[in-house]
Amino acid sequence: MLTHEFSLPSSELERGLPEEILEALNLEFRRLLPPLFAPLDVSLGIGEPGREIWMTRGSGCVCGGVSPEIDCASHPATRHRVQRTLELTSDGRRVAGLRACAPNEALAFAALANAEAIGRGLLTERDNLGLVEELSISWESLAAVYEISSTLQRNHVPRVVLRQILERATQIQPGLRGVLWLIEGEWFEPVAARSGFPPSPVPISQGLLGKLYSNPRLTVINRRGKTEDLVSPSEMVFRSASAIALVPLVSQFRLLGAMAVWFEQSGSRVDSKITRLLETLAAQAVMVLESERMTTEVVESDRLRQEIAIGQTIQQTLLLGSIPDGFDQLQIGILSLPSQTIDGDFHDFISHGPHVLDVVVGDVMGKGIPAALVGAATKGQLLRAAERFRFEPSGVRPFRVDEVINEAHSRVTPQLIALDRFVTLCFGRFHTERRTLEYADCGHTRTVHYRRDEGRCVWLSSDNLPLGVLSEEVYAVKDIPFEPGDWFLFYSDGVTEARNEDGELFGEEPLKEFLIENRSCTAGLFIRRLHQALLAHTRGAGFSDDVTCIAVKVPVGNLAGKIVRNEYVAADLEQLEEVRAFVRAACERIPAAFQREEFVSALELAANELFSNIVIHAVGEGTMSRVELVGRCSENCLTIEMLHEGEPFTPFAVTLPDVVGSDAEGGFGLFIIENSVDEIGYTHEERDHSLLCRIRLTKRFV
Amino acid sequence: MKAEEYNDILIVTLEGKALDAASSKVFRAEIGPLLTDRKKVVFDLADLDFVDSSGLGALLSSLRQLNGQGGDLKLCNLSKPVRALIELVRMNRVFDIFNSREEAIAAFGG
Repeated sequence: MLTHEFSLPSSELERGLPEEILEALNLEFRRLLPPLFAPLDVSLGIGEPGREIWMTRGSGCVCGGVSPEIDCASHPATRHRVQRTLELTSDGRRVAGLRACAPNEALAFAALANAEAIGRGLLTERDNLGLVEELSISWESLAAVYEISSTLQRNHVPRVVLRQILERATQIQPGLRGVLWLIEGEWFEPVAARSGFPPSPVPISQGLLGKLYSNPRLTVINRRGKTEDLVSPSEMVFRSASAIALVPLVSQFRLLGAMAVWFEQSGSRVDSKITRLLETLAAQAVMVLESERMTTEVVESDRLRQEIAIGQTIQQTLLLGSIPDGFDQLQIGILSLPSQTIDGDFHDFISHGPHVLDVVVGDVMGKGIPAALVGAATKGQLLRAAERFRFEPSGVRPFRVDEVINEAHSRVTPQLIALDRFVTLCFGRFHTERRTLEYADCGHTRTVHYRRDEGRCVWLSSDNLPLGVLSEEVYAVKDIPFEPGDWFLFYSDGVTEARNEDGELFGEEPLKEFLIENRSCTAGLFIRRLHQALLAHTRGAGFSDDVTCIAVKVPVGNLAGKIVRNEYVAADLEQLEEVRAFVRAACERIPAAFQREEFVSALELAANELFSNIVIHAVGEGTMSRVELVGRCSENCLTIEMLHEGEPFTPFAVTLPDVVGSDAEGGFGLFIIENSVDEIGYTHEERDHSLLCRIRLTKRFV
Repeated sequence: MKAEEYNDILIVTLEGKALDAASSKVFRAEIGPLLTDRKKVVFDLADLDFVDSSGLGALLSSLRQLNGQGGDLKLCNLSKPVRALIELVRMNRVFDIFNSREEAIAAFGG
């Protein structure tokens, strides 16, 4: 007796090996082998070796596998004296195996040779058929994609296109019905149907759709009978189905919905052609839904951008003020960085003559355009009150700060209470002649006051409530004395609460330390450095709140002092001796009582360092450029200015080196400058169509 | 600069009034070879009226070179402005500073 076994790997089945080919294979074996080797039993195994599904003829001997290693010792086939096996390959892959067991060698080989010929012939035929099938499906897929794309071009209503997609799906084969659902909350909601029975919403946890929800992959059910036992009560649309294909609509790991097609005619089957096309159409549906989602996001984003633009216009025009022209008694720097949202931060300045300046900084609770409008209204009331006068027997005087705050409070607090909003602010009035700050803090972030004589920062704050909290509140004011070299920082919480990626705040104490470190700068330079420090802290993560900081420095001297010396030197390190001589000569022009060695040496050293840095970092050696040196003397200080063309002097923008125990051989220059003079100023100006950088070093006589 | 030997100590007198960004380039170029294989070196700064950050960097560089070869550097005869600068940047914690050449030599056990 001879036994032939013929098996195919399951991978072939997964590729969708047409059943008709398998059937033909079986028939061919039955037809051809018996006449040659009668009496012969034939077995056809389909599947992985050892896991075949066997189709046998007669009392076919099943050897349980086709690999040569398989031991048939326990099998009836071992009765045969000769066993021979061979493999059939297609494209280098083993697709079938044959085993011949025969009473003698010749018969076994003959059997194998014939079986192989039959097998190869059938495989070739199978490959050809498969190719045609593949081409057919691909062509139909392309046609479907083209149809849907054409619809998309004509019609941008997603639901209409989804109906078109479903219609196309049911046209894959006559007799197909179909439904397309989209997930809305906890339900599959039908959005398109071509079914005899109207579809209902299906809970995401029930029936076939529930299974697809928990495991979103193509599901095919081919049955002889109906599928009623598999469906949930809400899936009655499937009640007459005999074969169903369900495909998920998945986008970036998110399930958007599902599409199902099914036959109700008994005996119809969902084959690979249907599933391939269904998957193509599902991909199209996902594309339509994603396109709709992105369009919606763009519209929303446009709306948000418009709102931000309106908010920023309000902020620029109504909320943010500028330093009054001609007020030179104080140095003032402003940092105002808008966040991605709209906040109600506001600030402004009011000048009451050459020696009195009001600074107001405020913040409205909440965000958005309403906050910006409340900020604008509150600021308006404050400015209005600040410009009012009181008539007294001794004469006319402007409202004091406490009167300004209480007046504005009486006007805005009822409205703020009605709107359920409040406003924090601090209001400072600088009297530069009597060196006093009239200061009111209404629940705002604490103002920093750097006291030069003590070399430390203190907080200014009071117990006043924010505006808009209590109608009966009476606002109190403090008088804060100040001296030249003192600083005041008015800021919003956006400064101290600027966060980095790890959620760490910039902080209040670091702000104080930052001010102490940079006390020698002018207010403008300080603001630039603070901006850089905040950017460095947030590492480009952006600011969640508006960042507002008003830096006020009481200057150490009058910057517009008399010019006592002026000369030009070549931008060359060889000129350093000349620069030092210039400084010494300028020092001879100050009052003799202040011509102390320490004063001269310190200014000489700072000027030397500045000139070196300009030559090395800004102008470049050997460029034939010149640096203008100017010495200005006022009643209490001497200023050495250096004017140069070239790149902005970036070393002023860097953080100071840690000089204590530093391993660095360089990097001391900036530290030396800052610790040798009382003030460093840095401005750009245009002269003869070129940008000129002016750096000032100011040292007080005392 | 002028270099002289006292026992196994090399004494370098820095000539010129200033050690600044211009002159320190020359100083660096000349001092390096002089210090090679030296263990005990004294810099006499009596003539120096002015040192800036570049000059300070050059002095630090010499100290590092000597420390790297197991040696040491001592400074002496600092003028008031030079001492003030060294104290300003707190390098008095890095350099051994003496009022006179004799004190510096004695510190080497000479």
